Amino acid sequence: MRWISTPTSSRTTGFDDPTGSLSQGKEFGVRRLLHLVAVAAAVSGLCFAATSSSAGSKPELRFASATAVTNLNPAIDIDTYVLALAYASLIHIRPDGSFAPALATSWRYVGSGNTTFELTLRKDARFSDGTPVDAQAVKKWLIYFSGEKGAFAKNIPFKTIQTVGRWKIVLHLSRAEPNLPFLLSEPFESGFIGSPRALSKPEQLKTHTFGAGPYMVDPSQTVPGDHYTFVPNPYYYDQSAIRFSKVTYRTIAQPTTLLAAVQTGQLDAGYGDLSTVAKAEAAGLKVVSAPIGWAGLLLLNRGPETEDGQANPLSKLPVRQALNYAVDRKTISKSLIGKYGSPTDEAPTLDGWNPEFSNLYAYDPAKAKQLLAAAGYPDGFTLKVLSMTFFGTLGDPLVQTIAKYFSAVGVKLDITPNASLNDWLPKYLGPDYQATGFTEGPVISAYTTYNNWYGPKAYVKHHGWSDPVLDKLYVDGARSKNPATNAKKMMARLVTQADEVIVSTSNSFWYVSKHLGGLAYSAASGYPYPTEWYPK
Amino acid sequence: MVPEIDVQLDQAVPDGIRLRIGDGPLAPALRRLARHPVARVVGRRLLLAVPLLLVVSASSFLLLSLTPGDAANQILGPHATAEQYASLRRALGLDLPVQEQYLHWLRHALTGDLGASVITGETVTRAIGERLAPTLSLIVGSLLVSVLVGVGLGLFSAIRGGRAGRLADALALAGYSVPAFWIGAELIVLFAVKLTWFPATGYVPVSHSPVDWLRSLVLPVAALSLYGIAAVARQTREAMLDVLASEHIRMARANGLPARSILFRHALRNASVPVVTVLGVVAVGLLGGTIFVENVFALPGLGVLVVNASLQGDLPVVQGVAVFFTLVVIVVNLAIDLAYTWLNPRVRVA
Repeated sequence: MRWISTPTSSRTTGFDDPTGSLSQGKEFGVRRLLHLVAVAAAVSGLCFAATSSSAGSKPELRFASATAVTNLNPAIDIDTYVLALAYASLIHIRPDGSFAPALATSWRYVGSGNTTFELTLRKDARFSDGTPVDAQAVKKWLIYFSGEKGAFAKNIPFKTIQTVGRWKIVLHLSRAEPNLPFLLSEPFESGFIGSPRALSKPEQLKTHTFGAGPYMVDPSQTVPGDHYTFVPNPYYYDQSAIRFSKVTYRTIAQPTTLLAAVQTGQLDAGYGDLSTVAKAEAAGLKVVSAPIGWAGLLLLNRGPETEDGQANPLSKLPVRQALNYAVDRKTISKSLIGKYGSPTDEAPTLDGWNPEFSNLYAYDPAKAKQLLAAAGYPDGFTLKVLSMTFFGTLGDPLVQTIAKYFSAVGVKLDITPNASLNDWLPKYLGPDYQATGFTEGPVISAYTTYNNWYGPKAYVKHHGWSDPVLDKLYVDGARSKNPATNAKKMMARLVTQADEVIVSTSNSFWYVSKHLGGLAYSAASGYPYPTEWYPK
Repeated sequence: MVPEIDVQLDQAVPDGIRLRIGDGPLAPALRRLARHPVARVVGRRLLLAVPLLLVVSASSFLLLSLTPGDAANQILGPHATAEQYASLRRALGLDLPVQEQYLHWLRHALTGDLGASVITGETVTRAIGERLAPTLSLIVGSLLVSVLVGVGLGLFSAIRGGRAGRLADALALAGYSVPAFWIGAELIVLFAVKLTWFPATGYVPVSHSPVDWLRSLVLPVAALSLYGIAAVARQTREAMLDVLASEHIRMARANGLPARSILFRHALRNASVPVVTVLGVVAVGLLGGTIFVENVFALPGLGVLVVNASLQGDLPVVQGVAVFFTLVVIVVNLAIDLAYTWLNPRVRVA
């Protein structure tokens, strides 16, 4: 901002007229100023005296997170714990990770090979537009969902969808999928079923809800991207489960502001973060936490050459092992995440966790140097690395800390920070960077992990390589009656091959008012779902 | 044949532009209006607004298209196939050349259609409409507070001088030094968390409850006003000191005019011209300040909307808000010009 300058040559230093005739001016100025202060105080007092109250036999639920929900279509949006208010899932995941009936009352794999799955629907469910939730409606929705462009659209490899009578549906898959109950429950949204009426004009799914959940969005009380207001769905099959007269979800980007809103009673629950959790605990708030993710460095390019045609050091196993030995996970985890993380070199998964492999690469910089020298890199090398700045503590600080440890064994990181997902994603998908700082969560199955990153049809083939051993473990495990056995072997394979430099597990946090009950979750459920919450 | 009269609006339009007023029934009134100094000011501003809007919309479009990432990345996140990204880009028209995208937007904008958000599906005009009230409340409230407190402090400092004056100066300078987002966070801790006088976050529409509306604005307005108060106070003080030292004030004193009359009828009115200029600058600065303050207080305003839209690569929304903010700046400048003509008769004559 620029100053508007005025001539100063003839100014006096105050209104001290030599004649003294303007001495009233002092009194007047003071009086006016006091008057202004009095008016301001009166306004403040008026405001303070006023309180708002809400009517109705059931209380309102108000919760928030930093995530700006921008699209209510479950085939596009990924804010599952918000959409669960309006979209009942085929199968419900309880906070402890076990499954319970929802729109489907029973389910089972048919035959062997985990390629056919049968669900029996409840007969009393209706969408918020009054349409019954029957097999035809579910089939129509699943076809729409899998053809959409959402991040979860391809999780279930549908081959055909068959209806048997009005209440039974059979899913035939093009490949074995051992985790269908999980994929058809809330965390993956594939089980969120919308009304067939909405599909005549799918654009309206962005701003309106057409689910069979306990609530439905009220667009008149909603500002997309800022707050969404949900009101009870008169057609919900279990009216006793509607415990709130209204539910408001808000986006609050600033963690300190979100914490203040919970502290002052403006919110009943808020999705916290590492930067505020200590303050929340100090303020006496109830903090609910679960280890739902991990943080570390993803090695993006494991092909024989880098983008500029040089030999790629990351293609060599001893080099990747050296990088894993080079970091002191205990110190990093303790200093950055504290009691809300545990050092690990294995990405936690729901079905493949191997405690014995979680500390395979104990901190040993001497061994790291030895391995690098043996691989032909006695003087180290430089890696071009991305950082997810927008993840706060687990963004730049994590990558810079790893860089310090790598530097001690001769490996330099050329770090590019990224202020937003939009900034980071094209670089992550492109060929120019060899690694990226990364935070993943919620925890998923080893099979979904494989499908996302390592399989031949992975979303992101960032490694530029294939591992036939891993592929075989996947194929055999996905078809078996006990898929957890191979899930563990798959994760063990990833660790022994030093495919990434995982550093620590990390928790997520919810700050909860004393007036709210039922907010609980685990690594398996990923999020606490507000459909489980109740007033206390 | 109806004769036409050319009226050259030298003061109202850029060089070389002539407006032709016919000889219809409204012609005399139009001619009078065209010669009116206020109409000239308004006409000039409105005509200059057209190229300004074009430049702003084109440059914001270009700048956003140069940033990495786009709405497809935002919508799909990291777990999507290359085919999914490509398909969504085609569906959103993001695969077209930038100039083609801009011209497409411009054609619709000229008909009043600013398009729809590619992220939420909401029309841009509706998105702006929904978020206008919090931002306007914030800006108007902050301007009022800046004027009342800033002029008050400036007057006090100019009149009193001495320690009290220096204290007022120090307070004004503090307003310059303290960033709005920091003071906002501190105000929340003190007045919302500890004293529980005001809500920590959110906005209550005035139609729901005027009192709650006022309560929801007190802290954000206080945080946003600091800079304005400082700017207005400094300018008021400087201008008042200059005016009070001028010959006509000495003459007024010598003629025995009452102090109140000298201060408010003669000195303050003359000193207010540069203060009004500063107010214009402050008002435009407040537009930028709302981005931080809305973020800290979680207000559903235009500042948050445009920041989120930029981060998400939501071009139509960024464009719409950029055009809207430009219009606001034009209106503010127009108001300043009109204020000049009211405060300073010489401007009217010119």
